[in-house]
Amino acid sequence: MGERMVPMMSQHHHLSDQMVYDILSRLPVKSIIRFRYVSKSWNSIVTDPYFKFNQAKSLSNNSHNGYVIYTKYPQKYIPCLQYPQHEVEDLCTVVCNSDNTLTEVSRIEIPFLYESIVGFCNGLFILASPSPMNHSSQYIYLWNPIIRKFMRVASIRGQPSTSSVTLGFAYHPRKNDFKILRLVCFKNEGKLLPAKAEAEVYTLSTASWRKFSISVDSFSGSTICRISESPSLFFNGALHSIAFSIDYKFILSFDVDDERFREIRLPQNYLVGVSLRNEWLAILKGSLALIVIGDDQIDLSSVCHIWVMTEYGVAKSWTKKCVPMDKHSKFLSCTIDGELLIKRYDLKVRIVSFDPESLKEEVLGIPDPRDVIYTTNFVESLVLLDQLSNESYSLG
Amino acid sequence: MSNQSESPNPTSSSNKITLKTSDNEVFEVEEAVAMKFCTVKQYFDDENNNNVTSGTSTTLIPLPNVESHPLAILITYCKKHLEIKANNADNKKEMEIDMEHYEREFLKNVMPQELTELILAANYLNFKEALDFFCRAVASAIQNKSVEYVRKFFGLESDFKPGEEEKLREEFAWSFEGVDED
Repeated sequence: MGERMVPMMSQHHHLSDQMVYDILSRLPVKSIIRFRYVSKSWNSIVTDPYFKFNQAKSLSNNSHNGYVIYTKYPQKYIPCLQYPQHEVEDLCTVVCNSDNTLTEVSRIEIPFLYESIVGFCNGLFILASPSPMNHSSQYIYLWNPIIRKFMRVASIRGQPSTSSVTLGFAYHPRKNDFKILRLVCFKNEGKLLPAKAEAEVYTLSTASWRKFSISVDSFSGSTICRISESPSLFFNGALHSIAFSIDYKFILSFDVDDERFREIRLPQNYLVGVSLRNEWLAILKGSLALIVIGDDQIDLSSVCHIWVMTEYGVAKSWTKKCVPMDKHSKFLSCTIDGELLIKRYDLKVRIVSFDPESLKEEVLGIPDPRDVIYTTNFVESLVLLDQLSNESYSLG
Repeated sequence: MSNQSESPNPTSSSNKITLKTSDNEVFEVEEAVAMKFCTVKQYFDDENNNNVTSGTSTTLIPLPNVESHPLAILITYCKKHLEIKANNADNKKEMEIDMEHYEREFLKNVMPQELTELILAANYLNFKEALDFFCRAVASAIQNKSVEYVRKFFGLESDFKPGEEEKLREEFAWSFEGVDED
């Protein structure tokens, strides 16, 4: 047999960049950031765009029921003041254990003033506040708390008379990118002219906004005049909001990949017999769901209707479950186990977890909650690593 | 992933493959074990295609980039890996539990510095499961360590200009908090 040699390695005793990459990609973000300073080549591996976008990992813990992320009202908060002091608030992340106890994962100061937390997606938070310069415009913050970086995006300046503004935030896996959707409906000042609805889409990789009017594929209603201002729900690659035309209500979905709007029908006559207080879209055990809280028109009791669209996009597949519900309840999210997280306004504001099967509810140990969001998976990411700590982008 | 048809049973009368390391040690291993090393498998397949008529059951494969010490460890790891896989052929969860248990025990007998040597060998042999395991092991060994420890661990020196590193460190000072003593 010939002494054919197996090919030689380039450097005998040093790990190649690929091997360093393989090791680094198995580390938490904090270690990765520290090890940038090992050498120039390690630094360039970490700052490589390909590495950054692949570095979105979940904190390993298999037996949990998701994460609650919240802020509290500051201790000296005086209820009559319209704007509490945001500066002193910390953003706290807790993991929900299976027995409904909470374990703190992190507590981080929010480094800017904001009005509301819109959402969390793949390691990035999105928060919003009205622009101090122009009330028809908004400041939107993207914030990666793990690496302590944020950027401010000013929305496109619109007309002053808006009837609704809806924000949505989505991850675009095919492009490893993030998109912000801003749906704006304008008031009908000219009376007879139809109201106008516009979409603005911000793409993180290009740092730019695009504006276009909303046209819905094979739409059965007339012009959209209002869209629910709850943040759009990101599910199945699309952002979903409840939208209204003059005499018709439906779910407006925005496909993050092809950027087209589609209509998803709500359950037929789902409000017959109920005086609606509020309604929300949700994801319940992997299906699109509609949570309706209102009063039964016959016995006046407060009820919650949980509608689940068992087959996505198929209007016939809506199924209903009816459960009792305290009237001072605001729905937040469904947990992995299928419980409803509710913000309850009694003498004190509390967060409760409600099981629609057993009808049991438990108060979660979060006193004085202000903003509360829920995520099934809390991931760390290196997105925004290049940002200076207070860099801002504006376009308007 | 392809179906594993090779028998991991050491008593089976399968072909032996002889591996020769850079320090001239010779290892005779089961074909099933050697075939987990993709570099060896590639070489073996090429040889077989070139010598269809040769009826030899023993093939000598030279490995000029692997020393005997890491190869012996990799062979042991590979045998155990195949054995656990065969014992739990129909239960993936059980297999993962057994594998985790074995890997924990394995790490008790390996110095952290040996891991780099093992990564190089596993990478050269293109033994994917071992490479993944050793990378995870190195990651958990250095996770809470200082930059200086990591340099020493991998035999690296800082090539930043004086002042450059300090400036960078200042921006991300928080990532240096709570690091273990070296």
